[in-house]
Amino acid sequence: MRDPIREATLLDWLAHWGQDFTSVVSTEPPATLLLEIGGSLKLFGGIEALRKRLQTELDAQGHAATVALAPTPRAALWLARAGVEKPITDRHDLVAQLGALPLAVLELPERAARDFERLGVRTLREAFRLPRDGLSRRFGPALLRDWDRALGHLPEARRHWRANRIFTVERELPIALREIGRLDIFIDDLLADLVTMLRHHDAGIDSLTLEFEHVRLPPTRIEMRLLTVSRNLVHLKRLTQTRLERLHLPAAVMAITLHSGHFKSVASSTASLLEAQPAPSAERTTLVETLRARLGRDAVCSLATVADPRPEKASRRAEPGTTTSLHQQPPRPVWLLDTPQPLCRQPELVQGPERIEAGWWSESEIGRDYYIARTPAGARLWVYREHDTRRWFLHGYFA
Amino acid sequence: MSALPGYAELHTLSNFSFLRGASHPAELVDRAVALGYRALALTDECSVAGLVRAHLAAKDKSLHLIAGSEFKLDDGAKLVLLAESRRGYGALCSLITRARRRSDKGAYSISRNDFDGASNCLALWLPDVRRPERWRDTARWIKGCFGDHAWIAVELLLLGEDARQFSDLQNLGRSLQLPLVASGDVHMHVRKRRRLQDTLTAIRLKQPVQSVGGRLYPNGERHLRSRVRLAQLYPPALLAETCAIAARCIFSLDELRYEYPEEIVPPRATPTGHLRALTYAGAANRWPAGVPEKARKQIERELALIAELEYEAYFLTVHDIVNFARSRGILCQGRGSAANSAVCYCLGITELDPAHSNLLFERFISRERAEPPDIDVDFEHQRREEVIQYIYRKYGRERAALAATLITYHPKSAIRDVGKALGLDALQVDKLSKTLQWWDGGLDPERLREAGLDPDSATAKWLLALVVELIGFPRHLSQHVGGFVISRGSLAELVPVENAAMPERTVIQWDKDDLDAIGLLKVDVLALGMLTALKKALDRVNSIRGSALTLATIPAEDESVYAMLQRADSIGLFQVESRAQMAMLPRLKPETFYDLVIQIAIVRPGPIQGDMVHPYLARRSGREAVTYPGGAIKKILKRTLGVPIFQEQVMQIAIDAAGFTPGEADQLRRAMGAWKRTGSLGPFQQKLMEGLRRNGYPEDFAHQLYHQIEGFGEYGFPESHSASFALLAYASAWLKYYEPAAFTCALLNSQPMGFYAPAQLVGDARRHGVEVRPVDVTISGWECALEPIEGSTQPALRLGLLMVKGLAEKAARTLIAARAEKTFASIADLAHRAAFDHRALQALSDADALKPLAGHRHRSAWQALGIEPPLALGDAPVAEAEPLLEAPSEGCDIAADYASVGLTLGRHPLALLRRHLDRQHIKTAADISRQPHGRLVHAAGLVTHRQRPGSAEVTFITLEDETGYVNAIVQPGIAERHRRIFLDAQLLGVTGVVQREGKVLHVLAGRLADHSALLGDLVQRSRDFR
Repeated sequence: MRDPIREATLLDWLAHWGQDFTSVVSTEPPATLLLEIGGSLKLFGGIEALRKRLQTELDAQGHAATVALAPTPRAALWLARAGVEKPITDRHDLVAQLGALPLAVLELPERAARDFERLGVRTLREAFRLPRDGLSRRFGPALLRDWDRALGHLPEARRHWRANRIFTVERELPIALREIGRLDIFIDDLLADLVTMLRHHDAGIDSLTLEFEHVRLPPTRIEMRLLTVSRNLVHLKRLTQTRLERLHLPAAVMAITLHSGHFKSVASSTASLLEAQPAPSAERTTLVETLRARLGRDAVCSLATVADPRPEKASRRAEPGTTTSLHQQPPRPVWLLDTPQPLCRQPELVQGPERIEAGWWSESEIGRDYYIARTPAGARLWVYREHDTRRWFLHGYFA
Repeated sequence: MSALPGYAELHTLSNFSFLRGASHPAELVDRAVALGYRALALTDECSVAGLVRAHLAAKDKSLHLIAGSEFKLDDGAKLVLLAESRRGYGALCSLITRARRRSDKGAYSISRNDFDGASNCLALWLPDVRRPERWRDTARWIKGCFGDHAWIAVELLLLGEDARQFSDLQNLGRSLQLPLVASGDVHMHVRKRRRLQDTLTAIRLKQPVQSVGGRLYPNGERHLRSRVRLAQLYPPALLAETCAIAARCIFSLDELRYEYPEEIVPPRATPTGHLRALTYAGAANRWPAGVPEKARKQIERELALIAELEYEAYFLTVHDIVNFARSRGILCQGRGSAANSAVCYCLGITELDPAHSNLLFERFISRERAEPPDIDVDFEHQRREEVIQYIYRKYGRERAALAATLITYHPKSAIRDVGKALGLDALQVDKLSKTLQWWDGGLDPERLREAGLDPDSATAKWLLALVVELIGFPRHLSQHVGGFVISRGSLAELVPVENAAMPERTVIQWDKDDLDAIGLLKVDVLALGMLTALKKALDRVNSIRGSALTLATIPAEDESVYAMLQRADSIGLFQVESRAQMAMLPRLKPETFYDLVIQIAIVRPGPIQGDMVHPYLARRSGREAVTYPGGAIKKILKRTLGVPIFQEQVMQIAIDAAGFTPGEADQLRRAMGAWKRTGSLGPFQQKLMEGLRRNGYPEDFAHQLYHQIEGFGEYGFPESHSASFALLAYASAWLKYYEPAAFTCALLNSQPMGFYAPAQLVGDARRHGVEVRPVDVTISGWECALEPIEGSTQPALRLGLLMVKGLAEKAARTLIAARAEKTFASIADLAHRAAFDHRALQALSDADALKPLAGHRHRSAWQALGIEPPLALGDAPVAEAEPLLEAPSEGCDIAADYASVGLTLGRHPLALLRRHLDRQHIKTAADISRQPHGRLVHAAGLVTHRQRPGSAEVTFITLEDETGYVNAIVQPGIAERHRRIFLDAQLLGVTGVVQREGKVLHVLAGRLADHSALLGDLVQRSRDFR
């Protein structure tokens, strides 16, 4: 099964690898990598040696790749698509060599491909010996431009590949510091740098990491996640502040490093001209972040109701702020036992039964008659009798 | 039980409340009987579609059935209406009709004021337990609208707060003086159906059952509960009230009486007199020299019977419709038992001369049997709509509507829907339903695994169980192919009318079987492609020959025509062109019209399964003596040499030899239709055997006859239909023999129809010496046409523009008109004057129809691609350099011909591949036809047909090559082993043994091979581009 996301990641990774050979790398998704190796030939000992090395490294990584070489990126791309590994080194050979390639290397839209089929045209030679004006009128000018680029008659401007942006900045401290309060000023500096960089790229982040280096001990790290993508300095400062309050430093700090998460696009709301009113949920977002910063990530969650007739499946933990509509149901206790407790005898029943037969589609099919029961002390219980065993269970308490 | 209070369930949904109810009406009835219910009201949601079925079951079990319906109002309120009397039933049907007609197919809309006219109905209000705040308002309205015909339905379903709700309703009832009654909101006959009911809900909501939790019923209480349970749940008064209500509802479907429309009889005439006058006027036309005495006697006998049974209006209605068709030049023909009467012959409903065969028409309508007359009228398929519109115009939509066809779940759709409901992903479901194209009553674990499902998993287990239950469930109502019900008064008082999917169509809520059971009569206005083809062929023949040939004047009993049939030279013919028919023709060797009647009826699953074919053939060829077990039987079976072949014969034997009454024989006929489903003929078996024994027939004969009746099953074929079909089959054969060009031309112009594609029809015509000319934009009309050839009696056949894939008729007509003004000088000229965009031009180019203007296909494609929208083009043609384009190879041209026109006039593709095939020792069809029995051969050809007759295990595959056809038989084991090839190969190779029987030859496949890749190579001009 193909997985487009994995493929994109893989191509990205290979682009990284390509930078070992040349600084000029570009990608042609889904699965082609283009390297400008004109400048690297000497370094790697000539074309054949370089080609072999590329092939060997790719093989070693388990990729079934075709390595094609040509004087222009487009020609190389087409050769690779056709699976032709014999390098073209001379520009003058391009017409003849490319001409023999099947039209499929152009990866034309289906319609254009069909039209060429109608003309009985199967190779690039047959296509490009047709009158240029006629061809352009029928298939658009881009086709001829590509041909001209492949032959090197037109320059090809490719977007160079760049690594995914993150921001890392390090600050050595003038003296080793142990008191957290005195670190603030340096951290604020780092955050200010980060925010400047984010502005510059019109981006925001949703995670960042601070690393505190010690002399002998491994560094202390704190990782922070934001609920929304942000580049708001005040927000970031408050968040780090909250975390720092709970931080225990094992030793004095020599240097601080800030790693940002991947840059992400910020919601357009920040571009609002008025910018005066924070969004209504902003306050809650901050509260949840603050609570999570103090209690730990998993300690804060929302309860969402789930439309399932089985009581134990009728609610689930959800990200804070998840809202669900409550559907109409007979009375349910707020305190539900995780595991129903068997009762030794039938309690005093005051309401019911509510018969529930559901869940046959899963592992936990139930068949029960629920009742509201009363203890001698007056507490109200939610109990049921199981259809199969005729046994009684306690499932919850009414407040 | 008797100490328990009586109970009548007044709120029951069957599976005719589509995707809600989880039981068949008959299951509900049976269960209600078993539980000792006093009565059962079937109250499907805004529908009475399941009522007839329930009625029949209830009648059988003597259960008091009440007609009713559940409605959900626009404001959310729900109520059940029960019909108190015939008038109440009429009001109910009218109400359903109103609610349905104003909405799309399958939906309805109803609000409070719609109920104002619902008199003679009892109302049960169903309070919504989730919205008690609205109770008072709704209850007030109910009381105001229905007065003392209204109740509050108390449905205690163990939802947790039953007791409180009950007491609230009691208070409400007291304050508004609305009595309370118990009911059960029944959705299933037994609790076990709960899972299916959940599944149906999920299907309805188009979500997996896991994620519709909140909308499933929390428990399975909505079933027919035992009276013990009911007595525990409800106070006796509420149960007693159910019986009191049931006692007030005295309407039964048996009261319905159908009345024919009045306007078919002129003022001051009586139906009897009018029919008589029309019949004799027609007789004068049929027998210009005077009506023969024998015919006159028969007419008199028939008229007397029609008058006695008061069927005049039915015949007059059919006559009126046929008359209209005739006035518009639309070819039509009636069939069915009543159609083959002297009266129908005179009225022009059929062309079958009753004088041709006495025996055949003896049985026509039976006095005792009260069997409603049955006339189906076939019309030219391309013009049937005109007839339908005429009926709507004449009788109005209030009085004429189509019968419904009940679409039910078959294995494939059941797997699809249950699979989705169980949360399988779309891909899995797709795979499952595809690999299971032939359901054998179970899921093969291997198939499940193929679809990525563990056969031992709970999901697989549920899938299997639920699919089995769901198969046969009604899914929706569709329109019957042409069964019209026409009534005297408003049809909606008889049965609700709703909208069909097709705009301007309305259907009633009952299907053909329902109508039959209730005795409502319908006229079948059917579409038949062969009639279109025959009409077109006759028109062409008459225009080139200057003749006035009609179906009635085609020379009868022509020896050469029968000789052709005996050679199985029957491609394109009506009825006798299928593989199985072709295999039978040389064995049965039809020599007369009646042989043809038998030929058509004998190649059916019924006679085949009943082992009637071989005895008949043996007797016919003289290998076996013709004997009869008795005089009575001889009379019945003489015309089929002592072997029962027709449904009519079986019924007659039951009457004459086994002592059935005609009414019982009719029930036997129905049972024959149903036994596949029920598995037995029940009491009829014993009665038949005993009757035969009593009358001294040997045990063997009785057993054999019973076996034959079983074989008939639902496939029993009546002689009356076969006779009408034989007439058309003969006409088509005559035309094929004497006018092959005109006949093929007409077939091509009537597509899609028949068993063969245009490629086979044209190939067959060419083998018979017809010259076929290609589609040509400078000559071709829209339809295929005939072009005279100097010195030849047979004209050439010119393919028309309708053969061109992707070319719209309108565009083609514009082209033809532009061409009539001035011939086209170039493609640009054509594009300009016919206002062709390049897509339409491309279609012509693909068909190679532009050849005279452009040379070869590649050049015409280039030019077509260069045509810009007319506006941008203006008048100045763009001057362009000539392109360098090679002519297509023969293989490419052939492939392109197939892709666009569906056939090639060039060589057969296999001719091009022959050298390659020779190397693999693959023989041609012609070679194979000369091989002896038992010889192992390799065959290969284009697959033209894959056919698995309903009754057979094996699949017949027809392979075509440049020399003809090879017929291969593939047994299930082989098909399974080569499954993908078997299903997908276009160019199939078969290795197998030649099976010969007389002139019939098959190859019994032992191995299959897929050679389809060779076809791709044909297109590949050169494969060495590297």
